[in-house]
Amino acid sequence: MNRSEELREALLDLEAARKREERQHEIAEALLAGLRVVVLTTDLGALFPKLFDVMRAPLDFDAAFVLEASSDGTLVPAASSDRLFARTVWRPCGMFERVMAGHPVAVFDTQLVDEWRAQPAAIIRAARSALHFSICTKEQKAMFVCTARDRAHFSSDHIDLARRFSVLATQALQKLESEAKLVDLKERLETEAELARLNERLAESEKKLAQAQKMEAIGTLAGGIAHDFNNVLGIIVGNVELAADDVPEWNPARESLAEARQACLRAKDMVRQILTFSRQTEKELSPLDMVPVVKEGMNLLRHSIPATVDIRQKICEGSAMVLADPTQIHQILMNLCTNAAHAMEEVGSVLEVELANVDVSEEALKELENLRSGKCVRLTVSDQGQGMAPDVKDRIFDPYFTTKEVGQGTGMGLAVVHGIVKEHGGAITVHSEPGKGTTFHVFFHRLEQEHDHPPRKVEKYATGTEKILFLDDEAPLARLGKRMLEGLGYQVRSYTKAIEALEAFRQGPDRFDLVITDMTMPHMTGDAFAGQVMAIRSDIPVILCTGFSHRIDGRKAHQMGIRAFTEKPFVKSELAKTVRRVLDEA
Amino acid sequence: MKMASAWSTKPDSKLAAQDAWEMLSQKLQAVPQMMFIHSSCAYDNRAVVAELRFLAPDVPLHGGTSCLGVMTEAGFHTADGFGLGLLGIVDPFGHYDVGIADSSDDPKAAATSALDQALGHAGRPGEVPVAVIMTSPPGPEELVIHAIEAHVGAKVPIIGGTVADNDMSGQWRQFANDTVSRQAISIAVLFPSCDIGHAFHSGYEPTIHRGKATRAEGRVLFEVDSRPAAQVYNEWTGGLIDDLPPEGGSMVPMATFTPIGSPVGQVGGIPYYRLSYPVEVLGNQAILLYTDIQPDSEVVLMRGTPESLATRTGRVAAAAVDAAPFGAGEVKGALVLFCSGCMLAVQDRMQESVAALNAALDGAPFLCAFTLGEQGCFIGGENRHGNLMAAVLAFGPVRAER
Repeated sequence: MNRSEELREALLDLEAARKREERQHEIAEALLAGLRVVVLTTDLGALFPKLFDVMRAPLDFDAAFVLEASSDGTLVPAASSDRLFARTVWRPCGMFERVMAGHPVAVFDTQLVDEWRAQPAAIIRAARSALHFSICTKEQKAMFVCTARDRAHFSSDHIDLARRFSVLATQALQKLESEAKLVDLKERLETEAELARLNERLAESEKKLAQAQKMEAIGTLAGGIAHDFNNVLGIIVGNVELAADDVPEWNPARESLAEARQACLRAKDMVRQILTFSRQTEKELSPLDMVPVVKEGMNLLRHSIPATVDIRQKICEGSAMVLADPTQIHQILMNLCTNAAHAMEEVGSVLEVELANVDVSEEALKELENLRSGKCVRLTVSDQGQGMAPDVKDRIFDPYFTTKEVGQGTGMGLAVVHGIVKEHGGAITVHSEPGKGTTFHVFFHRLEQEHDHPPRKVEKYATGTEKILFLDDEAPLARLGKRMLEGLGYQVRSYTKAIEALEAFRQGPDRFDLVITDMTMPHMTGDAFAGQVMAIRSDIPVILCTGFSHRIDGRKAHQMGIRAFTEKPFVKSELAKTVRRVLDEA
Repeated sequence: MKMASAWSTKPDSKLAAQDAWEMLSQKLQAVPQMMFIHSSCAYDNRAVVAELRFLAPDVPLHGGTSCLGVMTEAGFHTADGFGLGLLGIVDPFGHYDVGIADSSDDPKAAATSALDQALGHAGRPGEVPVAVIMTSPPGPEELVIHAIEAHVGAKVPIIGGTVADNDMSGQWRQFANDTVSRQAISIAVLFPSCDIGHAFHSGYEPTIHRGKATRAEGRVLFEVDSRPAAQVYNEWTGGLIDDLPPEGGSMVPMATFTPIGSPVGQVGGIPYYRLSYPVEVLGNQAILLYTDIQPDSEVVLMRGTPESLATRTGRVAAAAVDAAPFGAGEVKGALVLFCSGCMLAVQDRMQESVAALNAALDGAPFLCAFTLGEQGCFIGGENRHGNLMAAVLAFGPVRAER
């Protein structure tokens, strides 16, 4: 299966679906505008001219007229937007009969149609193509004719809109006729209009549901890709770390290796970003003071944002406690600031970041979806860039929406921010005007009690001499794990096939002090392998590691008796710490 | 609205036609308003078409030859190179008909003539059809598409296939009603009483290898980035055509998984591609393609896998349903055109294709022909001719039924 190809197609389909939704929205608006005219126009003589006005844009015609039957069987115009058509007389043939039976027809060349061929040449010249649909009252049938000077002007899109308008307008007109009092009429038809609006909302909800299902599908695909990508990253970052260990400090290559490692960690963050948006990551919410997180983030940003951007920060004194995942808070700050910097990179200007404890009023709270109470921590990121037009502003949190050129942006940054904020029960607002810059406010529920956080310790690699069985189906990763662990002093036997590893363990369960296994492998998954190993020797500690998996998470792994659960790609310090902890606890 | 497919692999042309028609009649229990036929070149197709016209003289008939046989919801139907299939549509409130014109001298004029015939026979002259089905011999497909668009407008979806034979010996044929021709454009116009959905995808993904067609004419790609096209292609593919002699030679089927792509458009910043099958390296190190290539256009090496091709048609069918205003459970039937080169590359896995199509169409009847080129309407609305593609046209329920 080719996941990236499927992902490309899913993205294309998603964008196409978005365009179809936009088209549906335009049609719904056009229909409502037309119906409003039908409902509110009490003078039937004024009805059609008003309809010409409101339907001109959506039906994209140059001229329009309405034909009604006369006593001699011909059709004559009851109203016309152009005097040219006002005195025409039409003899119905097959096409008109179908239209009057309720089937709209688009004609790509009027010269080929009997009804039109009977008209004078000047009429044909002014109307090389035409769209026809019926509107019927109880007593009269009328035909709405739209014309265009160009040949082949009307398409199935126009036919669809005409068909729907024909049905709704006919219903509305028939109701108008059947009611005695105008007031009652309006009320009833307003009810109809309300019903139409409700239907529209229902359709909108269904579309959103479909969108959500598609996003879920994309998430699954993204997760699969993330797994493969993490494996590749694991090989690179691990070998870079091992190589760095072998290079003396004075050697310039060491700096290159450090750069390569840093790039790998950035790539790892990108994978995390995809998984975050796809809701494939477990977040660890714990009491967190946002002050040091934001300060640390600002220090990092200074190195990555162009010098033309003047960064100003206003961080509250004391603490700003929230229940949050620090990595994701960091992600929010990075994405918002990077976006702000991009908005200003051509001209350069001021990027302001503010962190404050605020009390949001009851009134303002109503506008902040999701937020439980007014006691908040507010993170503000403002830029003085070009700002956004309202239509852009409305879509900035949509996944894959970007105003940047192809290849310049993924369109995921703000979607990720929105997703994280929502997952944290927070709220986000955006204020922007073209030419006046943009301000994002992110609100999180503030914790009342502060928690002490011990300062981070700088640790050396934890080492040991125990015997470890290491299993990963990818040979480079198996070799890497072996080298890393041997570098820490352990005795390691590595395998790429679960069956062989299991057989080795079966023949000498006591020859191993620890088993480390990959999760996603062909033929036997890591959790199944762990189960078999523990069935042979129940006290053997097992560490399960994976880049991505639907099948298992940390909680499930713990329930199975697995001692630790780690995510790939490995970083040597994390692997050393986890291995030592599990062995010490065994 | 009712649709059904039928098939036969009997080697006798007349008996095969009778066999398939009997199956179709039993399934439909009514005379269809339209019938598509695709059959392999092993048959005497004049006899096949004559028999069908004898059995169903008033049913418009459209189609062409298909490589080895056909595929339906019941399986891949071929036996010693024999296999034919029918797709019937019972739609008393719809209008369908066909036209055909010899394309030896002027394919564009032939396309316009066939289109006007079809519209006239359907009683809808001058009217914009819901969809146009085209069947063409290899060569003039782009001209035919341009002619159809120039006549009825560029927003009418065009779906079709380039006729194929079993061994590239030129035995292919196009059908329309009583006519069987080797060099004609056959057109069907559809005014169904139901909604339709359609999709056109490649099943290949772009690689990092891309360049500019600095010299190209018609279907010959002479140079990429001002270097001989074959040389560049060989580098891109890691020496795929190393073994070809200096005077050139056939690239079929070795290039099946590494065709040339041309960006057609993009949706949301994601480009999508029309594929061109590299058929032959010419003596001057130029490459002959099965599609036209525009000078100065971007060319990209595309890559496919057997896995993706085996389930390709199913994914395109799912996309067609996705684009339609009806769900998979409401599909009444579908016409599928799938590249014969792709089919041959995964011939032993066609049951996977059948299963994928059945899943996407919820078991609705379909007829799939295996063609030498495919025509379809891309996601952005562009009608194009391509190679190694799959095109699907799905029919939904009658509008009033929903």
